Amino acid sequence: MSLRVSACTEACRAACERARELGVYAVVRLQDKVERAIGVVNGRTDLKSVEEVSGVGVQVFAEGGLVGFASSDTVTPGSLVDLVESAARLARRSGAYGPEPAIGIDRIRPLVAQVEREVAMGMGAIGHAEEEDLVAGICKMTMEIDSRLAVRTFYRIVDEEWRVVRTDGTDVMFSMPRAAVMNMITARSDGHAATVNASLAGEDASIVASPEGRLRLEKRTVKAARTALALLGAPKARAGSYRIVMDYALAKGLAHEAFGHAAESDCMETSILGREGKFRAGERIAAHIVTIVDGPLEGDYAYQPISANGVPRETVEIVKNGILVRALADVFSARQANVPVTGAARAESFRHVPVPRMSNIRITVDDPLPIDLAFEDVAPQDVRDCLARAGLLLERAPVLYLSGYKGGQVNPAKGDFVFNCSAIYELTPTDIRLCQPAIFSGKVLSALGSIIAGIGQPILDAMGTCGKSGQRVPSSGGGNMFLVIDENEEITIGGV
Amino acid sequence: MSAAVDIAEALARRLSGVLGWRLVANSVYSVDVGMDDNKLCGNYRPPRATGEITGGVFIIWEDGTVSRGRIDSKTLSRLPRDIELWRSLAYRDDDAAQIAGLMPPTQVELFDPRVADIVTGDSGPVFEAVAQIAEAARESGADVIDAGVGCSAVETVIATSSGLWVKYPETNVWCSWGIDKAMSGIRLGRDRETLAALPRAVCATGRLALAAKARARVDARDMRVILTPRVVESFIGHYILHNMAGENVAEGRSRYSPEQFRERARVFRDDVSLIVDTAVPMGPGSYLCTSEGIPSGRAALIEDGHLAAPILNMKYARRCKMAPTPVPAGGMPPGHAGLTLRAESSESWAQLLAGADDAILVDSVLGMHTQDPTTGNFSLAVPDGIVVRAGQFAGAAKVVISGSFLNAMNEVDTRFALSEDDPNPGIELTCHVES
Repeated sequence: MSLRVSACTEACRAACERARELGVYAVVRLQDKVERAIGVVNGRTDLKSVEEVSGVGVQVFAEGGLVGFASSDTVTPGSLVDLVESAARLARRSGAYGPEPAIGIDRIRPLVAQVEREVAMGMGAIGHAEEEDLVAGICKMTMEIDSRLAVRTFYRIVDEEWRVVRTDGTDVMFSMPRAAVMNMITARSDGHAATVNASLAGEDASIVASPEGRLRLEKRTVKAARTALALLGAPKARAGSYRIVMDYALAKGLAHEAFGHAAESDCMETSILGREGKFRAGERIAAHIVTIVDGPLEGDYAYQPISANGVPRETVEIVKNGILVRALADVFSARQANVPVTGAARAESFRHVPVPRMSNIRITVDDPLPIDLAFEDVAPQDVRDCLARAGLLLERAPVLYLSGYKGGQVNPAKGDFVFNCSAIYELTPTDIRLCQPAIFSGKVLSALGSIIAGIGQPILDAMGTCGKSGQRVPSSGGGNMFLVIDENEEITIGGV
Repeated sequence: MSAAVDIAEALARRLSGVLGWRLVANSVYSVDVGMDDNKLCGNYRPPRATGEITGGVFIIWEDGTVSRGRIDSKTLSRLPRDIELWRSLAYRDDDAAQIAGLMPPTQVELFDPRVADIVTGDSGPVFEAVAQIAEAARESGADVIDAGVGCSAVETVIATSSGLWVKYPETNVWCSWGIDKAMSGIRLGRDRETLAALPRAVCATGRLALAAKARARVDARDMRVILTPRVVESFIGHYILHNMAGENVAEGRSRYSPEQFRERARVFRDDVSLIVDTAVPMGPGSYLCTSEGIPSGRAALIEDGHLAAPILNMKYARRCKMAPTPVPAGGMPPGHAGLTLRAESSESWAQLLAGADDAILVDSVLGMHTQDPTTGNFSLAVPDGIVVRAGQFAGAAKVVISGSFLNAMNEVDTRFALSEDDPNPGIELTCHVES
């Protein structure tokens, strides 16, 4: 099999030739994405589409480090020549305004490579009609749980390819297949409403078409639907600081939002993990049991083997045994941050300029407490029992179990983070009480420093979309099935 | 810029045999310049020029099934293969299977040739606008400045099988800035003058950022919170827009049901209304007609506190048995897209701030997108809530604010205040504040 982007060799060659004529270094980024989507609302098909998106972005580096960028959805030799000229013109125009010179692109080695990820149930494996039946079946199954539920089920499968060509001879091609299904479940009754999501992500249609995928999704859906219904009459959690246990999706949120963004090399001048612009490597920021890793995983929703600058993406131990080790760095800011290049650059589309960012980030704890259940089968009482066995349940105050990730946000410059959950359970030795969700907010380093235990083996399929710099790229990750964070006055549950 | 016209004409010819169709094709060219962390351009924000065709087509086939397709610059060369692809994706959606009758589009001016010149010719004014923002921010005491300025020129074609054929040019200007990673601002428009008034707006943001440099202490309690117009925009976008969206209303995913709209249920205070107006001359969210061919215009969605109409495209209008409404333009804050909240008892923003005592001024929140809009409840982190005492800024505190935005719209002590720079008001309401 050959990648679709391999057909654009002539256009890439024309761009590089024109760049050399103009005396500029060029990076050509071709994107070719095919996306099939199905949306079903309350059992009725609401969307059925195929999108074929392709285009090219050209970033040029002129004398004195001047940079310009131009993009188009037309990929021909002539259009690429136009883009090189346009980007060069902009770069040189910027010279009159005192721009920041770009550095680093000439320090990376040329690379010629092709990484094509072949999947068992890709876009050609099942037809659109069968997909529609499967997605409609999931939606209807959810609706049958209770008449008070409204359900929107959205499924998409993506076959995305990139080609990065540089004037130094680099020519890399890679594919990033992925699929995701999300069930958005709203319960409404007596003027109250609550929404809880259930999702599953992976690299192909097996998430909805294989028996294993279907079973996992059904279990998650039933759990989410029952939570949404129970939330209709749930009380509010009292605001304050608590010992917290969170599931692996929330742990991914913590690792991604609260920590990972601060470890990206482009923000080191203002990041809490930087000092005078340099990464604070070697400093202890968490207990010795904590390790945080980011990198591409085969079969993962956010898999990306090569960076958008044409550098292999490494698996990076950002924190090892509580010590800050490496940053996520691209060629442009690695040297200033005093860290090695790890191939961290990603771009949403051919229109965008790449920035360093995560792919699959996971936070794990040594010697986790055992739990002999699949995640989908774990009930709040199982979490409580596990904590009780380990002596982690408190007599004087409830432990709050935060379930289900509903997004988050961070200010890497200040170290503030927030994220939200689908539900909160107050766990005490004698009772379990479901409460309305509320934000979990605090200081990044306080949260990391307060991790005291993990429960279960790591699960790494928590799906998300990262929105850094106005660009939306797939992200994923996870951690031990549950993480336990001790009470800390700088970490609060917001209250509603 | 005739590529969009060529594609539209070719599609119209090819689709002449089907039951109905409509299409929109945009030919978009843009240029933008940015500054990150005081650095103009550089690796991550180089000056950027883009050009592409975007759009979509909707087809009703002979058997009543429907298809939706995407239009881009390759569409012309892929015909008739794309039409066969779209046919293979046909599905039954009877409420959607309709084409609007021929209605004259609203005549509204959206184009400034001076902005088009910046896009296709000299991009200098965009660089100069970023420099102006940076200078104004520095004069306000900013340590770290982020900024972005861009312009686009668009040619749009909207056509339907009912005989509608609309072709019009439009221009867009967008400017944004952030100061000390704490406070930020945005300005959207369509004309060259949008760039002219930047320094004053940046200085206003700078004053807030300066106030946030000193830290203050707040005790946890219920207290008055003042949301700046920028934050109110995000509340409207998250809570009101979600619950007023026709799709959510029709499908039971809104706080409000179609019956509540038909009964004109009272949901807000009697003097509070929500208006959509997509025919404001040179308004950033204005257009001549929707992609379905519904003319732009003004409609009350909440009138004197009572539900009047959800935001309805043709499909959900039919499902809700109501008339379609103008639809706020996507991709921009609600007020700029034509959706505005109004209270008869509004005062001026300056007056509200001057009279504030023992309040927290909130210009930025973390976590809005994580909130459940159907409940109306919010629980949000505010890294730099500015303490206001006797009308004066008294430093900033990190707080968490919580309450119900939708319930606040029904409270007698909620105050609304308009400024000349923002389409939506600032709001003072009572929240629980955790410090």
